[in-house]
Amino acid sequence: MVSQVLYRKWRPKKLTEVMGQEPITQTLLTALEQDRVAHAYLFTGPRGTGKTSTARILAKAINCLGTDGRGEPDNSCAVCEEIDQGSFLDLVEIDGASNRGIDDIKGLREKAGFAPAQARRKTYIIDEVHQLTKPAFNALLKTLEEPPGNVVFILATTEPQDIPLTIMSRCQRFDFRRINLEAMTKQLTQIGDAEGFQLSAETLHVVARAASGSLRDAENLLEQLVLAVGSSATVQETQEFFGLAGSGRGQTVIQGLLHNDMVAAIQSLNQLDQEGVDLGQLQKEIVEELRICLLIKAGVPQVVDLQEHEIAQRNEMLVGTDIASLRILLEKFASLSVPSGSPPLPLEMAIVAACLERQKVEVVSTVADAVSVPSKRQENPTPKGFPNVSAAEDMAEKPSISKPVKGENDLASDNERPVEQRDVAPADEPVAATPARQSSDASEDTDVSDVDTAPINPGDIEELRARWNEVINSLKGFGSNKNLDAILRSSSMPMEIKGDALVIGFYYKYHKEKVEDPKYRYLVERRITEFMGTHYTVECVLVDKPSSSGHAVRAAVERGARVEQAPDNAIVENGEPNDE
Amino acid sequence: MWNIEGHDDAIALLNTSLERGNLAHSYLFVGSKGIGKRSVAVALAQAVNCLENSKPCGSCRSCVRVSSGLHADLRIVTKRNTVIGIEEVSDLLHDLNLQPYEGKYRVVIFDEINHTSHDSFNALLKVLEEPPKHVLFVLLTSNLNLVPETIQSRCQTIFFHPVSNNMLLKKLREAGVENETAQEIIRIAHGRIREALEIASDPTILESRYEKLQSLMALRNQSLATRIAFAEQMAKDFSQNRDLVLSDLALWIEGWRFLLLSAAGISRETIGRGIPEKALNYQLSDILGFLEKLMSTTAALHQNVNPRLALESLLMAIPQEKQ
Repeated sequence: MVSQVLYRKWRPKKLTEVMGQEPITQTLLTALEQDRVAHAYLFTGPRGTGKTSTARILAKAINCLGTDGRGEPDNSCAVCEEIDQGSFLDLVEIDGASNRGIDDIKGLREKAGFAPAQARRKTYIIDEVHQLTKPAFNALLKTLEEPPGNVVFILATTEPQDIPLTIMSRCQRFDFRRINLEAMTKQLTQIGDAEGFQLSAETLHVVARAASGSLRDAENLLEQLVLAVGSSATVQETQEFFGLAGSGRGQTVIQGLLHNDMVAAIQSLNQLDQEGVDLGQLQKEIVEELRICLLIKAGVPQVVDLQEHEIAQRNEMLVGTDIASLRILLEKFASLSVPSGSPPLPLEMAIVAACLERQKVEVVSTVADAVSVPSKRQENPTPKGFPNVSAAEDMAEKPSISKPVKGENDLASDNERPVEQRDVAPADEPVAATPARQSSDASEDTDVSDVDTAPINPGDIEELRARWNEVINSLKGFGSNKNLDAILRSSSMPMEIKGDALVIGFYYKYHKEKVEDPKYRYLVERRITEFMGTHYTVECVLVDKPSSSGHAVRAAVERGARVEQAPDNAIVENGEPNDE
Repeated sequence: MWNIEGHDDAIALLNTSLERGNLAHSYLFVGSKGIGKRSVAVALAQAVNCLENSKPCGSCRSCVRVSSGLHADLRIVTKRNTVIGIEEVSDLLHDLNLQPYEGKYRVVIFDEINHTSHDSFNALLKVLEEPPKHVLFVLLTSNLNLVPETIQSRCQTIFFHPVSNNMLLKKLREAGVENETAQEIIRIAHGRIREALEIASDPTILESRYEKLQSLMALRNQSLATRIAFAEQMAKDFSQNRDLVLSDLALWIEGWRFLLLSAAGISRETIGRGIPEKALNYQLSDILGFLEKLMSTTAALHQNVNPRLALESLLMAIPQEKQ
């Protein structure tokens, strides 16, 4: 009743039949032909790439009577047949994972000393060799380096990082690669023809893609597909069966996500759940689809291996979505662990979290756009699907919304002042403005903020330095701890402009690293670009802290204080930056 | 004659393989807990050893012995302590080389294979790929993510899908349940047909659930002292009856899920009848945060934390409603 599954039935019998590993099989063939087979091999690589199969073929080839061990095994001589049946005395295949102790290896070493019964060279295949214990590996070292003349060791593993370097250096190592789509499809077509399946080339392509480089997976999937769906499954059925992107099931959820439409996304999720769709598979599908979208958006559609029209369709879907939003979505969904048969809650939470975060980002960029190009503000898409009442409240609470408005005001009011005054008193910014004043300002001054701010001349580092506080203030409330402005204020100064890069000096490593974090750097770059009118990338360097550069010191000097020179180390010790 | 509710796809697949005689040597059944994987696995063990023609007949000597757990060739491996250890596996590997004792096949069922240790997984690799001729493996798991790819790749994976709501409704109607109650049960059972029928058979289950949920949700308006006292009580209960507290937490999560959905603007029909409260004055992010806290606390309780500390911190974290 139990029969051989495809992956056992179709194990390759010759080196040239091993799919997708031509460099390795070619090398081995040459070694065989020149009679220069080494005494120890290490085969590594992902599952299902042909390690064990190659090891067995090699054992056969070495001992084959028909070819005298000079080339491919003929698979018909007595030795080959005995090896196929597993009754050949001089081929010992050891499961390294269940015979992993030092005693097992000691036993092996003793027997290796005896001459082979009938073979040319006695062959030991140790599969899953990474599971051997450390003493066992060490016991093997000497034997592996200089085995008796008629012994060949072949070690195979999926985890080369667990193999001691001392073992590795004694073996000829071959890294098996993931099998590429082309070779895999070829093999599947061959199997399909021989087994009498009526599967289209496109379906086989889908199967090959689902297997992600492992031929055993591909053959297994093919068998399951034929059993579950039938030997003439269509592409659509295949995609659905494997839970692959493109099956269309996750499409409605993704549409909702891309439009930032929380309600639609959650509703379609629940719809699918009620139909009995497995949410674990759905999550896989959503992540895969988002990845495709991301790659298309990033301008590398050739990587995703899709048809023209499929890419065009996704391009259409992606209108109005930027790469940052896709990144947020992917982050939220890829990190989820949704077991099969899970309730919809984890996915629902991810949807809500992603939508909230995207709204935050969109508000930031809306405000940013408003600062630089006021007329653009109306065109910005407003987030859809947000609950009316609680949404408004929710957003009003976020400092990231109210505070940038204050930043605008600062700019606006600064415009009215002559530039020289700013140069003299950079610390004169309304840092300590009360919240009450801010909000009343916000309502009064909205029109004023629409007036274009006087841009700093591109490349004018002096002016930027003078207005650095404005830049900092406009970043108030940004960053994950809402303290980006504090980081910049306590520790930074623009140093110089190098081409299109602005070098900012930091006094503390901690602050420098914070701002180097892409999500912070992005915000800073964006703000500087608005101020300067052209795009600058930000470069962070560490500089010595000038004794009186702190904003508090500067403010104090403004008010008539005198600077006392303290010893340098005193500043460093007391000036440890604080996270909050 | 599989005698199993639902899972028509999986059974059809196995049946076809049985009839054509091309059963695989190792299967991986994936599906949530309580969905019926084990029943199907046992039925498969009956089928391969059944003495009658319509396999599994369920009534021949062999089938009876399998279902009562007496058959010498059926071995069900479950975790004894926390994991399925390597000793158990090597013990098993030794046995597998022996011929079947009374039937045709030695059937090995791994219940919750994801509870297997790293070393045991590795020890299984070779035998799962090429077991002796008379061996059939069935691995069961509720979380495919915890099964190494090298294991997955050697097995035929069969997914046990949750039963669709329409199907459940039909079954419940057949059992004589009213429409409204049926909807409620369907929501709770989440695709598990056995659980749905169980709840339907005992109306007090629904009622007590409902009361419990209400008292849990009312906690958010209680004073800090009351909440701490509640946490203490829960921690005490936990030391006596883990499952009770864990199911309470699951219920609580469900309540907050309702809040999340209604705050997100989902209409009631999609959610189903939940707690009889209007959407509350919460911010979405607060609800989300507390749900995360609830889930992480549940996960922590499954591991070895101080339950009182975890529960106190949970109850203190209930967000305040905006007035």
